[in-house]
Amino acid sequence: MQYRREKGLSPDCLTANVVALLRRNLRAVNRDGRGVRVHLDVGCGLGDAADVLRDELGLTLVAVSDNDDQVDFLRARGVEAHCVSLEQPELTLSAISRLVGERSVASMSLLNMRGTAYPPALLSSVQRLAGAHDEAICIISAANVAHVENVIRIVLGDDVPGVGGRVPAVAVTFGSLSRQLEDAGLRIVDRNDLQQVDGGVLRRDDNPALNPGTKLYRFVEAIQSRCNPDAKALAFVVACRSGPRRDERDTDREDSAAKIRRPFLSVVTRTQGRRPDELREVLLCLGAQTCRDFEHLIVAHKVSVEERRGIEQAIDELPAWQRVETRIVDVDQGGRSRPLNVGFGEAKGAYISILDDDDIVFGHWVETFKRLAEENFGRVVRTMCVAQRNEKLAVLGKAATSAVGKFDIRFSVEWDEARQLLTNATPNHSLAFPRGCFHDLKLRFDESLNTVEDWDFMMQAANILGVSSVREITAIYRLWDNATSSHTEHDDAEWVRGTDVVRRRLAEQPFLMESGASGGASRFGFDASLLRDARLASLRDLMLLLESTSWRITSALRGPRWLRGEKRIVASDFVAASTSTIRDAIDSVRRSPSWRFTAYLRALVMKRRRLSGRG
Amino acid sequence: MNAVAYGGSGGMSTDATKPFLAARPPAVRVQSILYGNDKDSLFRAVDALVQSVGCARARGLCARVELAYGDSSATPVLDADDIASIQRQLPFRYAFFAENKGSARGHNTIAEGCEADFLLIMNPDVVVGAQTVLRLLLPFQSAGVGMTEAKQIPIEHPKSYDKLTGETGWAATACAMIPRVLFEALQGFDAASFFLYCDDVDFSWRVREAGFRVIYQPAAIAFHDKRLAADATWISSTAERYYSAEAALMMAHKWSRNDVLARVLRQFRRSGIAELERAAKAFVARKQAGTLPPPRDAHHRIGQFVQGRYASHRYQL
Repeated sequence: MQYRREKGLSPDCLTANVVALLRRNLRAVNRDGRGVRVHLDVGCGLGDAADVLRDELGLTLVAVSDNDDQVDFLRARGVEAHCVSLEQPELTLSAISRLVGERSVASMSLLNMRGTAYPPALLSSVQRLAGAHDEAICIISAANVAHVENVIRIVLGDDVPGVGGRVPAVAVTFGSLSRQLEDAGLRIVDRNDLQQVDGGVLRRDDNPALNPGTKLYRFVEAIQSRCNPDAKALAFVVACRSGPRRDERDTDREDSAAKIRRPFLSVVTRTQGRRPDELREVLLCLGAQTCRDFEHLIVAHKVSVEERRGIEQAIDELPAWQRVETRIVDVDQGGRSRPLNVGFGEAKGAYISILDDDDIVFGHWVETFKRLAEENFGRVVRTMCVAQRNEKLAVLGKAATSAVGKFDIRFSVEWDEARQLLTNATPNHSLAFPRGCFHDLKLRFDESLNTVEDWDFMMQAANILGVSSVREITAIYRLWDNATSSHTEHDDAEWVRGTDVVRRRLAEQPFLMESGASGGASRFGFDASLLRDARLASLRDLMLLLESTSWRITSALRGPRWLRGEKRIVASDFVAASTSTIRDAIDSVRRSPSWRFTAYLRALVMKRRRLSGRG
Repeated sequence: MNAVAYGGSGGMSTDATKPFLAARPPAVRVQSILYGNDKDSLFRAVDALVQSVGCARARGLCARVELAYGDSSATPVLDADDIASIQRQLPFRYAFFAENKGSARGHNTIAEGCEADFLLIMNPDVVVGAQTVLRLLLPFQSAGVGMTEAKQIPIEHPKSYDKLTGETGWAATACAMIPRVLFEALQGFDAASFFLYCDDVDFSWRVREAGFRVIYQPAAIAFHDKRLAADATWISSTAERYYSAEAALMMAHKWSRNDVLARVLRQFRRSGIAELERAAKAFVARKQAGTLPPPRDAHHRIGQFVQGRYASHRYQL
């Protein structure tokens, strides 16, 4: 018989995968041993493979089932088939032993069974039989409940069909299958899942939602592509051997691990150890929180020994309660995303927030997140953040930071999905993510990005979980006049590239708009045009500044700065830049000594215009 | 040489040509006035203070540190257990006033009889950084420094200062260090004129009037749990508006700015805002009763009135 991989759900595909597993795992002693060797097929799932088992593997197929029709069907095709009750392990075992007689059981299969789960008693019987027959290999299959089609079926209230049929089948996740088998003393040694072939299903279901072209299908598929490595498996096909049953203590241990007391929030601070004074301010902000239900992970990224010592010293100086809740996590590789992935991986909190080493938060930052999370558990929560210009300086020789600008509401006051699809209007410390974003949904910060990695992550999380916002200012985003930040460490090209990557990713995936946003599409269109206008308006402002008399006549004053390597501000560099980047450039021009130098001149011109009635 | 008359002791003089911080590690009294405070906020502040004191001691820059609270609340904020809990961490005195003495009189009262070398005047809910006590003391190694102030976060005060020397017009007593002898020489805060606000501005100006510098040290950080409204503006209560209005009139009078006084009085009367109108009436009543303080700084060398503030600001809050 010729086996071929066909598209979609076909029993032939399953048979081929099973035979391949048997070929890989049948022990030499079984193959070469004398006497009759049997493949025991429990449930008659492999009935049409008798010839292959005999011709290719030298096995005699013996099928047992508690279904008379199946048994009669196989007998009519010349297969040795017996009707056996599979419900009581002792009776099942003794009945099968009698049927097998002196023959040796080399392998077994338990495929495509009906029901919602494999009965533990049945798995126990299989395990004992395998143990009694020189650890025969057992092939077990189950439909993947998390396959996109099955997810949609369940959402729509349908049964999950077995491979090749429409009857309800044992449908599990790989994790639950592994646990069931371990509980029964069956150890998975190999795996050959039945994968969905590109092109989707073969068997067209009447339900249109199962069509890969539908919005629902694409949405589930997009989520699964990040969250579920087994999403493409139609069915799990595993090879097991008899082993020790899982110790009850293991179960207890797992239970107690599941019950571990979690702080509400894990605060992840990535630092390169170069801003010790700002880091101390971050630590002070956390030490003054009205809610202490948090842990603090300081992810030291590629720091020198000296820099790490500085971080340790800052922690050593903390009050005892805060010292206990603060720990350093070392990360020596990767770009800006790596420390976030490592930090989120280490986080124990129910929610996780990013607080960079130059951020400032108010006293109710944690408290507000917690209140929001209690009211909206499972959703990403968001508070307001204002921007403020700061500078570094040294007063009486002591390095310090100081604010030099008023508070600026430049970020969205609430989560604005439409705006967020175009540009990031939410600083990291405005958000707290449920830990499940990382640990269950398997979302990750894209390590190929050195900019906007946070925007990418928050959009993925928001698309699945939604965001609950409150108009409460709890954080300050500091814009540095004379120090480096992520905005200055990467050039515009890098920002544009990152933005393009994220925008493309967002454009390619279905986006689920929030409930209540029935006018979402129109709102989106409206806001998008506004944003485009805002960007163009900013670009126009920048060009006007650069072409102004004040800027042109003072170009000689900027010469020394260019010689020192400072980049010239040229309008053409900003044609593709985001609104915020353009606004930063405008700020930079307005703060420059040469612009300030001509302030008097401009004031004079304005005064003359007013006097002449032109102002 | 600048010096102020002082009859106290303590081994320190108020000679502006000599530093207040000499070879001997000084004793520091930290003091705050309570008024219905949340206990948790006090304990957060104490936790941080203990660490900050430890850092200063480790550097040999301070010796004994004690904490004193004066309680102006209607009922005591702290009970015996709370007091014992704080006393386990550092020497602690607690005085329940049984009346609302306000900020200025409260501080003057608990400072009486104090023998420490420096007074660290703080709001009771201020959480100091680990190096704050140390960094507020260090400038006193230089002669002529009479008062130092920490940087408040998350909302930093916008008043201007010299970016190299830290010299500034006045220091906010949310977290400010003062040599005790100078405090006594200047007879403490002007409690007769100021109840809740501007006692620190007035005191700072008197420090400068006596020939000393006031230093803003942003490397010394203090978290003061202030919040912003959703439009990023300062949130103020009715009491805050009234007492700051009352203080504004008093400042203009006391520091000989009759022009400012006349303008502000006029604005308050015409404002239509109850607190401001009430403040204007209270001021006039005091004037008629003859209880206003004598004006000083006739040549406007010290006092600074800029757009309703007491210094030029780096930016507008």
